[in-house]
Amino acid sequence: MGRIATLAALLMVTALTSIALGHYPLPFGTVLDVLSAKIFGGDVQRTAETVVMMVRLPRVIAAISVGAGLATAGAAYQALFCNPMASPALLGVSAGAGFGAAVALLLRQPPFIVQMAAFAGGLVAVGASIWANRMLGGRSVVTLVLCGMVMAALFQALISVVKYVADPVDVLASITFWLMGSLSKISPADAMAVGLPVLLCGAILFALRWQIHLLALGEDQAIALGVEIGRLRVVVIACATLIAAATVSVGGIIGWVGLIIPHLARMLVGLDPDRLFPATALLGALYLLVVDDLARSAGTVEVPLGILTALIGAPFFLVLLIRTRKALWS
Amino acid sequence: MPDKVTRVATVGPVPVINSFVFALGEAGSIVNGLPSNLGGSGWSVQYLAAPGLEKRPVLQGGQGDPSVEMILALAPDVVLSMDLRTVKALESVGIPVLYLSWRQPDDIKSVIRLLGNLYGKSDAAESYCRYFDATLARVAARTASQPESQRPRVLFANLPRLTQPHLIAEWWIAMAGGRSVTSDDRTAESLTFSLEQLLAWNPEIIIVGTPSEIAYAYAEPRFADLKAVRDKRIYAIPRGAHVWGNRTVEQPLTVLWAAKIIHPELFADLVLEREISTFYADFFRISPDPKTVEKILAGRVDP
Repeated sequence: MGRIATLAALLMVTALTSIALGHYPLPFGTVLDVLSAKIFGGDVQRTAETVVMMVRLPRVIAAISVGAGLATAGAAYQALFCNPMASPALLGVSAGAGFGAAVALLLRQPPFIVQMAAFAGGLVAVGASIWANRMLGGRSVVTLVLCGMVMAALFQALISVVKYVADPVDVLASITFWLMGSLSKISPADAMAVGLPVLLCGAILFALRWQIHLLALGEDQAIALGVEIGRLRVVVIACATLIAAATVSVGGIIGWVGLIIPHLARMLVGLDPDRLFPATALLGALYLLVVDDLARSAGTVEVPLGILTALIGAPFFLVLLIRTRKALWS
Repeated sequence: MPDKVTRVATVGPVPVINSFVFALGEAGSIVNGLPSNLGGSGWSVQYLAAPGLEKRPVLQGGQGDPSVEMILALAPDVVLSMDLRTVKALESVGIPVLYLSWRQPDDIKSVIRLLGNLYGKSDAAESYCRYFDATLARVAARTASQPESQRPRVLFANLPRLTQPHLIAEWWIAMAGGRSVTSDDRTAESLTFSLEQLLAWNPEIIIVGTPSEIAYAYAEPRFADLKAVRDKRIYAIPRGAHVWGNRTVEQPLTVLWAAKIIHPELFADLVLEREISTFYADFFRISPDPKTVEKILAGRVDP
C-alpha cells in the first residue's frame, strides 16, 4: 500500500496548499484561522470566511471530485469496452450535456437551470446510444461504441446549430466559454452536486472492481468465469454516465482526464484491482487539482480548465504510449 | 453609387449600424430586417424607429456573415458594414460597401459624419456631434471637482459568466465619473476575471446586462459581502436601439444614465426620462410613450 498511501498524503497536502492559493490577498495564517474556526469554533473576518469557505473550498472539493470521478469512469469504460482509447465521453455524454447547456444558455436561463439541462442532456445522449444499439439488435460492445460515436457526432452538430443561432454579442460567448470547461464559478451547492454522485457511483464501481477487471480479459472469458455480463454492463454504464454527467454539468467539458489517468495508474501500481481502483481515483483527483491550481493562478486571467487538461494531457498521453507500447495493452 | 442614397443594407451588428442611420433620420432607407439572433421583444425601439422592420428580409447568417446572393437580389444603393471581411466579400462581387470603423470611443463622431456625407445630411451629423460633446462636457463639469482616487469603484459585468463583455464600458464609466475596476489599458473586447478578484475589487456599484441578473446577484451568497450588494447598488443597463453598455449611437445617454447612478447627489436634478424623450425626438424622430421609456431604462427584454 506504500504508493497509494503516498498518493493520499500528496493529495491532502496539495488540497491544503490549493486552499491557500488565489487572487484575493489572504495570508496562509488567516486561511488556517478560518479552517480551525470552522472546526473548533471562533470568530474570523467575514470576507476571509467567504473566500475560504464559499470560493476556495468548494472549488478544491469539486476539482477532487471531478478528477477522481472522470478517472474512475474512464477506467471502468476501458475495461468494459476492452478498449484502451475509451473515455467517459464514449457514449456521447459530453456532447449531450454540452447541447443541454447550450440550449439553456440560448434561452438565457440562470446557472442552476443550465446545470440541470446539461445533466439531462448527458443522460439523453447516452440513453439514445443504448436505444440505437437495441434497435440494431447489437450484442457486442462494438455496436454500442459505434452508436455512441453517432450520438456524439449528432449532438456536436446540434451544439453548432445552437451556436449559429445565438446572439453573437453575449450568448455565443457564454456557450463557447461553458464548452471550454471551468471550475471558476463553483459554489458550495455545485461541489455537493458533483461530490455526491461521484462518491456514490464510485463506491458501486469499487464494489464491482473484480468483475470489471475480469471483463477486460474479454467477454467470453468473463462469461466463462461466471460474470453476469449483461447486468454488469448496465450498472457500469449507468454509474459512469451519472459521474460524467454530474462533472460536465458543474464544470463544463473537461477532456483527457478519464483517458490518461487510468493508463498512468496502471503504470504506477499494476493491474491488481484492489490497488488500481484507489490509485486511479487518487491520481485523477491530484491531477485535476494541480491543473485547476494552474488554471486559476498562472495569470491574472482564468484559463479555461478544459484547454489546460487537453494541452497537458495530449502530449503526456503520447509519451505514455511511446513508453508502454508493448507493455499492457497490445 | 447613386448621388442620392435611398436604400441601404446594414450587415453585421445590425442594431448598432441601424442606430446610426436612425440618428440621421434615415430609418426609412434600411431595406433589411433584424437577424433572428438580434431581434425579438428586447429590440422594440428598433421596430419603433423603423416601422415595418420586422417584415424586411434578413441578409446575414448567425455570425453576421453576409448572404451575398440575397444582397445582390435586393440591390441596395450601398451596404453599411463594420467588418472588413464582409467589406471584401461584397466588394468582390461589385456591391458598393461603406466601411464604418469604430475602435476608439471618439470614432462615433467620425462614423456619423461619414454617414452624414453619404446621405447628404452633414447638418444632422454635426448637430449630433455637438450634442455628443455638449453632453459629455455637461457631465464632466459636475464631476470634475472629485479627484480620481475618490471616485466610486464601478464594475460593468456579466455576473453569471464573470466577464466584462465590452471594452467601450471602460470609457463610459470614466466619462460618468466612476472608476472602472476592470480598466487596465487592454485592447481585447472582453475581460474574464475570477470570483476572488471580484471580492478583492469589492465594487461599490455593479452594472449588469439584464434585470434577471440583478436578482441573481442579490440571491448569490458568495456576493453577499460585496459593497454594491450590501448597499443595493446593482443596476441593469438600459436597452434602447441597442444595449446602452455596448457600442451604440445612444452612448451620450449611457453616460448621463451612468452619471446619475454613480453620483446621485450631483445629478439629483437630472430627469432621465426627459433626456431620453428629447434624444429620441431630436435624432430618431420618435416619441416613445412613458411605458416604453420605463422599459428602456429598466433594460427589460419582455414584449
